[in-house]
Amino acid sequence: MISFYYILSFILVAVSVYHFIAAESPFKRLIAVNILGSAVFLFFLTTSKNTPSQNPDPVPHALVLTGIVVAVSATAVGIALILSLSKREKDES
Amino acid sequence: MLLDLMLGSLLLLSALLSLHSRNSLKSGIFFVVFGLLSGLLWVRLEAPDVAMVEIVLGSAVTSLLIFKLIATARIKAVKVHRIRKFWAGVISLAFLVYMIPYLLTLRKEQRIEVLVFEKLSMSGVESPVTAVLLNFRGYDTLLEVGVITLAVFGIIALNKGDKVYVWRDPLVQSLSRWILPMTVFFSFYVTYLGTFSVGGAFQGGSLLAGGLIFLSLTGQDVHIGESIKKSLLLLSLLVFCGVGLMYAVTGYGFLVYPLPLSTISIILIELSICLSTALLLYTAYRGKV
Amino acid sequence: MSLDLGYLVAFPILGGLLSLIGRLRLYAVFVFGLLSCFLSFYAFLLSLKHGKPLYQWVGGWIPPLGIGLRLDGLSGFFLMFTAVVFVGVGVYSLGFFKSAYKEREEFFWFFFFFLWAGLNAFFLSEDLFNLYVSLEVLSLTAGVLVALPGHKKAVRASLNYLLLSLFASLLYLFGVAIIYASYGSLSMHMLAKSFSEGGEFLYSLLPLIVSLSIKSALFPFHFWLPPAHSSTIAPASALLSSLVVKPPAYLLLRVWIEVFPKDKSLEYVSWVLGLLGALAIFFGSYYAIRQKTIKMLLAYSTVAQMGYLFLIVPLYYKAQYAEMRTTVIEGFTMQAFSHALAKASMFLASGNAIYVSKRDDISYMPGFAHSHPFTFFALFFSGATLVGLPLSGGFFAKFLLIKASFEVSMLFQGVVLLLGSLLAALYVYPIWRESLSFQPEKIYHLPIPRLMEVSAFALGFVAFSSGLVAGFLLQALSGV
Repeated sequence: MISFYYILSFILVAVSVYHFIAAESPFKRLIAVNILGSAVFLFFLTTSKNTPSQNPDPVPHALVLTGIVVAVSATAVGIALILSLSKREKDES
Repeated sequence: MLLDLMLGSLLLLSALLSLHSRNSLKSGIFFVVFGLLSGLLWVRLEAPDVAMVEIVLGSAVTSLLIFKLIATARIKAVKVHRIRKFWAGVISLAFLVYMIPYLLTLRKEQRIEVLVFEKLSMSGVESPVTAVLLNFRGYDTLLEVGVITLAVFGIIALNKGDKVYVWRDPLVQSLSRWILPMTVFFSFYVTYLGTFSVGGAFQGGSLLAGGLIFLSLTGQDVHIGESIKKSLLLLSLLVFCGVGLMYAVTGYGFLVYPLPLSTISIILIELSICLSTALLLYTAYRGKV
Repeated sequence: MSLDLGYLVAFPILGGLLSLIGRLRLYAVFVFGLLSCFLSFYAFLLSLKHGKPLYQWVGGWIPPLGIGLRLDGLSGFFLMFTAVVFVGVGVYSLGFFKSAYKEREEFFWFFFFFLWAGLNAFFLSEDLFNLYVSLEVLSLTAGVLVALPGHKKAVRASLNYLLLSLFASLLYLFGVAIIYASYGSLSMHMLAKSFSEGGEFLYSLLPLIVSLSIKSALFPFHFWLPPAHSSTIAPASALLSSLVVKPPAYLLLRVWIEVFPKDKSLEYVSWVLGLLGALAIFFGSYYAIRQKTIKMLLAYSTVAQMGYLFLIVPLYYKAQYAEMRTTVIEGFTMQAFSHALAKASMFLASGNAIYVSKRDDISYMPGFAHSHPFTFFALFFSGATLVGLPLSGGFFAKFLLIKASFEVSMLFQGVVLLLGSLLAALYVYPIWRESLSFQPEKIYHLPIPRLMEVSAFALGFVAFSSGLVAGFLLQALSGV
């Protein structure tokens, strides 16, 4: 069962890498990056579950939490930049 | 078992649909679905704290920002050369092939969790995740709070306040006003829960941010003075640094909480994170203070 | 006397926060700038005194539970020259914002101090996940600084940079996740012991190396750098080109010397990096020679100069004797140090050129030799350091590296190093030629604010004369 989650995370990483490189707009790139992030987090959390004891390992939980906040912050900046860019292009036209 | 397979395949499907759609609205919607399914999958992996953060912050708040983008701007799509797609395919396939043998090496093993549960009683809180986040690895959280503060100030520095999509419906406007006090109460409750159960500062903060963004979506604004807003934005970073420095200067060490004071230090920091994160995300959505 | 390493991160952050309050801004900048500089130098002197690395466990928790900070010769050195560049750019910015971009100053200092804190945090950290968060701090601050001017070119450059940087960071995190899954620890000194046992670390190698290469603009991942560094204001460009590109290369060196075991497969990887470094030098220099605007030229020069840091990776690998290893690390550090100072000086001087002539083109560059000697000498000293003329820090660095490469009979490295200097001379020359020009329309009598001139000159002068004190500085690295 654990292997299923690991394979899922690898597939998600591969798919998001493909779309990051072959994206048709910065917006699509941003979505690909977010999905890549979720894939990496899935890997981390699967590792957290992959322990012999009953309780999952809380360290990856904290790491992923930090990772989500960082990813959201960066996405917010990215979206602000795309908005700014489109506003400038609208002003020019 | 069946549930896992279903969740997993739906997750993959929504990711593929989100990435593949030409229409940005469809991408956005499938991205929300992806985020929610991720959260559910993580609950299944016994990570409820993280699932909460993902659903509220990673899925909901990010989607609010994405939909604001879709509604306000026209997203231009460029034609992608076939050769680029070819190389992208080669690289991702190579990566997959490279990583599959790795699965054979993974085993169930004990990592750091033993240490966490051993020292949990000395951390000042009962929830292991909060202990790791705000005590054992509190320095990471300090930098993380710095990141979110910086990001929002970057957004403020960037924007001159452009015309944003607003939903001016009087019914929704009053609804957003009525919901806000309940959201405030609930978010503080979630923050308080984090010390001994599932919950925490980031979860509470993003919940409150959701309520505030709802308010902003309907064209209204929180009636606090601008300088108070600005100081609330900086509050968590200031408190966290301040607490760390205070203990450094008094001889304990940077971010070393003395045992009797650890609970109160953590609660103080958590409250400031809750307030600040809420206002930071709200400001990120609005684009100006 | 010991130093709580947390001060090096917390005080700059505090300074940045206080600088957001309008009335306190100048006082905060002054006080916290000097304080942070003092702390960095104190840390450097401490590392000189102690032979061995100084560890500190943040929060009092020992790794693998907690996060470790490590102050040794290498990190102390990097902390020191980070402080030097920040002081120089800070002084410059005090003068810069008096004349232009007044509305941007409100947030600039916050980003300035936060970048400083992030760099300090990065150089001190020995926890892999903490390094990820520090990397994100650096990337986001850099992205925001690139977008600071607000015009379309800057915003587009910032967006491309940010997306690529985020992608690379997540790849790095993936590598860290693999390491944690296989070894159960995130602390570098603990992993060093575990890595020597198994071969599983190879799987984490690819994401880590690719992500760090993207972030330090190694060929072929360099394409984000020229637009990003050339589109923003001079002080920001100076900080980005001199300092922000260094941490990923620094981390690669660290991980290589401390964590990775001596494995045959690593030798092939090191040659790939070495080759890419050589290509970076050639292509970076070639494009730099072809540029018509000063800032783009300087940005491509950064690509070329960063190539040196990767060129020498096989050297490290091949070096058998501990003495030769130290020489390579010394060369790496001197190269990073002199490039940082020289590039910052050149970008600041280019800011002066734009201030005076209002144009970015090299052909419109003012004849500084006749009107503004300080700026001219800034260009002269920093250019000489980039090329590697004797007496400069750049010369010392290249000398050490060439010596090392001939001692382990890696002629390829030695030849590329020499050719690199020649190519650098080819792109530095047009700048010197223009600034020595006698043409009357190129001599402007507009006075440049004192702070802007003196800071550019000071950085260049220190870069050039550092060759004299290099011996003293490098004794810090003897313990690494």
